[in-house]
Amino acid sequence: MSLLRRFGVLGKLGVAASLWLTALAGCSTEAGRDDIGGGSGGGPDGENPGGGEAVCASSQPGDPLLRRLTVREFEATLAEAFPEVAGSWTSSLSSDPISHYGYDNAAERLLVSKQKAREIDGTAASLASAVSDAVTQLLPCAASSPDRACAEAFLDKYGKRLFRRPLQATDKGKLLGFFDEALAKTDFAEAIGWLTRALVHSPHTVYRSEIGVLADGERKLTQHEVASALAYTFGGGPPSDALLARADAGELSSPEVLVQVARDLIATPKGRENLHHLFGSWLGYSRVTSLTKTNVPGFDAVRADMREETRRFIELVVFDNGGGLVELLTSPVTTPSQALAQFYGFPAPSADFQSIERPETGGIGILAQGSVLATMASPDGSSPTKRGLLVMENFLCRTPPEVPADVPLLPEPQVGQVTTRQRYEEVHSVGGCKNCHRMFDPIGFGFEHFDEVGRYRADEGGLTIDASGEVPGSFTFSGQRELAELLALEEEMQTCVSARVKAYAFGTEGACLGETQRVAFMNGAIGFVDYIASLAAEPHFVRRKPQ
Amino acid sequence: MKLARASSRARLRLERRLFLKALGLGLSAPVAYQVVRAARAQDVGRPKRFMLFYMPHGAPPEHFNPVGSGTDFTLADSGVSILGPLEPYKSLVNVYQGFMYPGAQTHEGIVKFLSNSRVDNNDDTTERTTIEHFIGNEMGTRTLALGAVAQRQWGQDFDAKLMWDGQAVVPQKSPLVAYDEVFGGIGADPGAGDNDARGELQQSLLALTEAELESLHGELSGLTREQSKLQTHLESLRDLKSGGSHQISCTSAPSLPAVEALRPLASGQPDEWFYAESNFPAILAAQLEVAAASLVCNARPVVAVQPLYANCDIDFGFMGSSGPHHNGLSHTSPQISGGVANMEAREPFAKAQRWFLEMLTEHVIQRLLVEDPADPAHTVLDNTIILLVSEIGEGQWHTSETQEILAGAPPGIMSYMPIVTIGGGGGALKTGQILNYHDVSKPIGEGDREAGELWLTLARAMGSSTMSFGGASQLVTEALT
Repeated sequence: MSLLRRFGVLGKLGVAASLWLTALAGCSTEAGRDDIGGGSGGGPDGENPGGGEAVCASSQPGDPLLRRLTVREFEATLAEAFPEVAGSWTSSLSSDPISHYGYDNAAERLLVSKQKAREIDGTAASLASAVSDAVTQLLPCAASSPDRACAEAFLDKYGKRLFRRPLQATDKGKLLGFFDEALAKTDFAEAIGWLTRALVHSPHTVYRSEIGVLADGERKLTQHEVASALAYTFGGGPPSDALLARADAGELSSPEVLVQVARDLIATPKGRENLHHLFGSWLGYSRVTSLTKTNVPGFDAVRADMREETRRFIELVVFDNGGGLVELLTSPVTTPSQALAQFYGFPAPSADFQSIERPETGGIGILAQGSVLATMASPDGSSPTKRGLLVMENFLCRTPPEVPADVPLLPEPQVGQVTTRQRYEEVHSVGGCKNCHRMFDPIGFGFEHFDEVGRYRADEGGLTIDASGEVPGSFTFSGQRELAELLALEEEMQTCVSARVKAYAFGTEGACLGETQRVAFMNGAIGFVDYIASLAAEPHFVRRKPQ
Repeated sequence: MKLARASSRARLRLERRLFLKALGLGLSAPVAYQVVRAARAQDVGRPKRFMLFYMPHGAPPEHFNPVGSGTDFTLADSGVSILGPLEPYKSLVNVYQGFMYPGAQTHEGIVKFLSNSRVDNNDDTTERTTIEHFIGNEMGTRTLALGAVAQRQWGQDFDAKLMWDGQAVVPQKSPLVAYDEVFGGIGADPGAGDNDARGELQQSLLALTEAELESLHGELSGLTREQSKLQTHLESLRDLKSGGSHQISCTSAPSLPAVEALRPLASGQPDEWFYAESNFPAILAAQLEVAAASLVCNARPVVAVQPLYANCDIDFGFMGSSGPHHNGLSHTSPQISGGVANMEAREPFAKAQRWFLEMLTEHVIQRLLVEDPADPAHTVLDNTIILLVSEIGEGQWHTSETQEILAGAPPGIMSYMPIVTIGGGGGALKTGQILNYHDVSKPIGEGDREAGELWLTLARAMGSSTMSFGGASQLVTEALT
């Protein structure tokens, strides 16, 4: 969510008769409009804060947490527990709330509301029906001895998968008691269905426990809590039977083992998808598929390719080549489809989504991706404000001030008469707008050689483009390439992004949780995958504060 | 608390208790008597239904405000006349003027204006309940929350949180799912015995889960924040256990043209399809028909429909007003030409907003003009309250209270928060009037009543006996019979 949304009124303006006359002098409607993925809520407030959470001298364990599974995690948990009935049940779960970072896994926001409780019930009922219909396939004993012992076998296998730990005697006792009641009123298949519903409803399924066991003044996570943390953090889903077996055997203790498990999980298709979710949430580029562009014929046909281009770019830079912040920001290649390359005016790749070298004028890195530039634009033109805010909030963790309530209209584009920069400067550099827009518009001006769909333009309707810019308080630059190159060297950016990455991994913005390899990630010694995997070795991964 | 039907003696006891309670709250005797009179107005023995309809981004007042005052007014003579589609039904329409949303600023007010809550403007986590869910809870029924592109694709962010039932409510995005959920069981007869067994097992299941939650809650002693999560879960589970009840009047699932037209297009589609702006008009039409049928059948007597989210930029070219709804249409300034308001300047935005009223009229209001199955002497609309609201007043200036727009052009045009009701509320609402409470002698923000007072009034009209809502305790008595 854009931080521009955290605005109250700067003070009720005297709305006298001249109010409408201030339309030309006040801020434009660009500020605060549309979010740009995550905001910079973690950073300190103030006019020019930045960098997000500061680097700590050492890592510390954070608070114990009960983390409700996200919708994605919940659905994956049910699907992987019962692969035999894939496609036979439907989820009723609705969207998760999004944090001010743009993440859907913020532990403090994930609650079981009345609506969510009903949705869990609906989902459980659908899955139970599928399980009932397939009971003999799931339970060999269902055909020969459909009884309590067979139900216990069901719990031992499927209950363990859902709870992500072996069921304790007390768990089993209550569940089998419920099974007995169901069997008395229905038949075995349906009673197993009711047992399934009870398992799905259980808080031991719904929540990931990161509470640990309190002993000798500290909380140590159990082996099965660690298994769950590994699986969901790095694999985006529940622990496999094999990982649970390792937890049973007490093998998930040494930092080296945990990091290796993390790497193995990240390398899986689901693990990669989980990290794509991080990038998509942080940068917001997935929204490109829902955009419309008033003046660009053919955009609808390529916007899905734009999203895929960025996914492939991240695959190449981050996964295949182990890249970090510098590589993400300054890579000279991209991975368009052939149709998209033609749309951009780029040389054609050998096949769809193969890597090509960007033209000299084609920008560099993630901030030159068409999906990013198109998302951070208006329907009818480029947007220095949105692009500037993206960098300011999501790469520098700077918090813009509150937006006033009465922001007047930005004049419509006048192609061939004024450039976008001139149009923005006319409105944003005067009056009440100036104090806000001077923080981010100068950053966004550096992108002006790219139109509203990310295509390079040498001029704007025949007018010369001025792409000089400034990151206030940090550096000046000319053009997107120089912006990306200098931004990659900024410690403020490195601090900010590293904070964002570990907030996603841990589902919380707690301080000092992931410091051991943080500086190495910041200075480019290790890339995204190595840093994220290293978090498995942090104290927070296996211990928590006592209270 | 639910206001049950009462015998005359029981009614008198109830009124006396209500009177004493009102006095106990510090209300003067005359005001306490008004409370009793309001309560009496609610309990007229007729079925009641409620619908919330959200219209994003306010309205240009020069095209919205009725011409006239009191009971002598027209809705169809204000430029584009955004409320024009309601003109044939204006005997059942109230237009409310002079209300403000306390502390709700700009589009961010979407998270708080319907609960009258006073949380910080950027607070989208503190528990609250919005008026439509409050009414549903008071009526012992589950509010049907429907959406048409009511959030961005990636999840429910700040701009989408219109409805709250403790936590933010995610409207059902698919009319097909909504239809099946509401009407799927009508006419089915699985057998009474089976129903009893399933009902008992469902209760046992939830009791088992409740016990697990309580046990886990106890294990987390000292971890207050995590215990709080479990407490919320427990309350939600108990709500699920209690269920809801109402008498469904339809004996078969209704045939809804917009839903059937959507079915072949939407079946099997991923979530993304339901958030694509190209599908918005068809989804909204279908959701409105589901809403109307829910009301007619009394299948779900409290419904809310949320078309779009705040700050959405869907291009409204599909209805003739090309341009992004927020950045392009709503953010056009009021203008003066030759000393009077330039009515053409904001026609595109006005037409876009009128389109919402046309959709509401075609797919809901006209469908409610049928004999109420539960009350043949009246129509369903007579027994319903449709509440039309927006999160801001003047689209360009993001007002949360009454402000004078175009003050330099006599006569100055007042921008009020767009709040309209359609329907008689089962005889509880006094309709066919403009109710204006704005005090022009007071500064901006001080001359209005809190919208919470109106929400309280509507809750009371729907049969609640609550004495306050969101901190508001004064009734808009002129709106009640």
